[in-house]
Amino acid sequence: MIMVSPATLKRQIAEVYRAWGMPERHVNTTVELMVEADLRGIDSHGIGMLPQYEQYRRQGRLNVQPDIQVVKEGPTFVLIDADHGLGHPPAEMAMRAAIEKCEDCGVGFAVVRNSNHYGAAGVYSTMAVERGLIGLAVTGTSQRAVVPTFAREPMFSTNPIAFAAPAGTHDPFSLDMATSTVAVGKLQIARRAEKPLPTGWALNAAGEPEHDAAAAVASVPKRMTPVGGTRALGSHKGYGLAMMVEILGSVLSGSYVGGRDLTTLEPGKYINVGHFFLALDPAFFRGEPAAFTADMDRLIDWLHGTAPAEDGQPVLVAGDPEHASRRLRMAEGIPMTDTLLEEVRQVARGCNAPFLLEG
Amino acid sequence: MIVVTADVLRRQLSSIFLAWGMSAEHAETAVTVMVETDLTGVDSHGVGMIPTYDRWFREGKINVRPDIRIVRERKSVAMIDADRSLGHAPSVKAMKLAIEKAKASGIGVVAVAHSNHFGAAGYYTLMAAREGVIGMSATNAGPILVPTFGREPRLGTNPISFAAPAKRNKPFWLDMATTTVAFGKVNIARRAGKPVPEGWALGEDGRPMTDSQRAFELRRLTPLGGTRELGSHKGYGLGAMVEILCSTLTGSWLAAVDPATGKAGDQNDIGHFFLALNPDLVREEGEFAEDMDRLIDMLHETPPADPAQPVLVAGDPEYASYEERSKSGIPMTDTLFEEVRLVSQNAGVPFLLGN
Repeated sequence: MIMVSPATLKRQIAEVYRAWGMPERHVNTTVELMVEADLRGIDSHGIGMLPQYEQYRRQGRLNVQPDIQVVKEGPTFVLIDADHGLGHPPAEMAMRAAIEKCEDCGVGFAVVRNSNHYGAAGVYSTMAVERGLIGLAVTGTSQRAVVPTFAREPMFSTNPIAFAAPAGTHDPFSLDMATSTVAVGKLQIARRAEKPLPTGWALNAAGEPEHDAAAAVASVPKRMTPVGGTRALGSHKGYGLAMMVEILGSVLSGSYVGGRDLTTLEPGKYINVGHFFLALDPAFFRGEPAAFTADMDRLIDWLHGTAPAEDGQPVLVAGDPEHASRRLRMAEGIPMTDTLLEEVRQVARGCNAPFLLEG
Repeated sequence: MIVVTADVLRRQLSSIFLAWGMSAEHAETAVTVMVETDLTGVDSHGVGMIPTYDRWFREGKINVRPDIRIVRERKSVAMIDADRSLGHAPSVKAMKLAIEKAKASGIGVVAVAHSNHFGAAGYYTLMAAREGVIGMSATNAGPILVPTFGREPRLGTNPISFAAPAKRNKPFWLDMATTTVAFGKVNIARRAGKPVPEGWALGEDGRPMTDSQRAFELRRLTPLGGTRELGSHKGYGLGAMVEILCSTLTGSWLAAVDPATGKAGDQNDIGHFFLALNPDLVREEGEFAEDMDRLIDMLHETPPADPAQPVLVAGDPEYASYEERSKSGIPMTDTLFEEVRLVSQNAGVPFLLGN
């Protein structure tokens, strides 16, 4: 394990993207948003994705010089075609457009098609918060890995929802969640620890609960559950939420669902992920800006004030762990495992970019 | 068990609301929302609510002659004050307005302040889907959800509903509490003398418990996910999202708790959130509904774990119930039947369900 400063990490990722031939403005946007995910402690969605992105590039599934275009625009919305580039630049452009529309109209939304992995959904919803607005970001994903309730085959993926709202004196409320019970990373952790999986994390090929972590990780395709885990604990709700995300992110934009074309049900050359963003102005609804943020503080205090089940583990509010991680990692740097460090070294070597993370 | 026709149920509810002094228009709206809800099989949110409404009415907590007004409006957004009305009339007004705005500008968001219980969230989103637009609705409610790591309730069941129109298929139609189960399910287990599964309810110490009688008395439900290990922090986060959109955004009571008395439980100053979005302005006309058919067909064709239980799409059970109950009537338990008789007596109107 080594600690890397955010500035060094940004330079490293930027060197790789430059070596790929990515235009400088896209390099900057992508690097900022990736390292923001790492600062928040969302390790699965920052630098940890770089090896995967490199693989997409080598497979020709990623356009490193995309022509990102607004293809349709109305008073309250835009539709953006990402031209198969990495998802961060079109997603950032879309959330900015939703915010601008919202500042004009009280609400604004943006839809992106022909996109790719965009990192952590939460880095977009909090862009709205920086402008005093409520933000929502959801995205389809490219692998079939989550099994609908009553089924035995996966049809969609972790389909995350991010929602953020500004507070007054408190940190903003910031929810960023997959609609699956757990992320793949948690299966990996259980496998390495040689622990059985709880009922409700993963399924076997018959659609029954899988308790063997090694088998769940090795399974092709992955068979994870929607949040709820089992029918008795409400997995049909997680499945329903995942479809809500799919409808807003994929169907509304005309993108693939779980990496498949909806007409042929086959994968294509590109990943064709779709995203959806919404910004909402609380000042319009409350008549003035301060009323909402003051009441957000009251809500956050109300939740933090819940009597805890165990002393020593206070009740948290969505965003608390990420805000704490951000403060810590800004001061102490971002931890990287030796494995990840080695993978990034390989990526840099593979595209003739300098490797800057040497201890 | 007694079975009543939708028509008799409508007349019964209408006579009660009119006797309370509600306007014919508001009574008609509330009755329509409630009976449609019973037809879809969501028994907890239709006529099953009338005994509670009756209590609130007698306690002076429902304004039966509200001045429901739009307090602020722009092309795509509006804010409605329900004036402590029963929630159905202001909610239908809000969703109609959101749909109009979505058709004209791409999206409409209408929030409602100072309202009351609005029945089933799903009624309003289906209004949108039937007009060819995507609908979303949510409401807050009195505390019953225990936040992850906590041991006392702080948020309501805070339901969220989402509907999207298809072409050949019926709309995708999700209507879900952000708790693991609705309180009604705990009550069903209690009446049946069965334990509840671990992960539905918590004891006073914040630990899972399975005694349905105690769970019924304590009223401490888990967020969707049930336990931290299975992701209850996600259900809790969604419940808080709904709270923000409904009470914080509208200036209604936080968690339906009266700030003057600190008293929780009744829902007499709650907020609702409605959103409509026009997919035909984003995509070429008709493409969205056609792709919705493809998505719904794909899900229905997913290989099932048990061949006898096909994979469903949100709304399937409700549509099936609607068809069945439209023909054979709406079943009512003897208890509810007697409760409605009492409500009729309180209102001084004839009891019509016994005929």
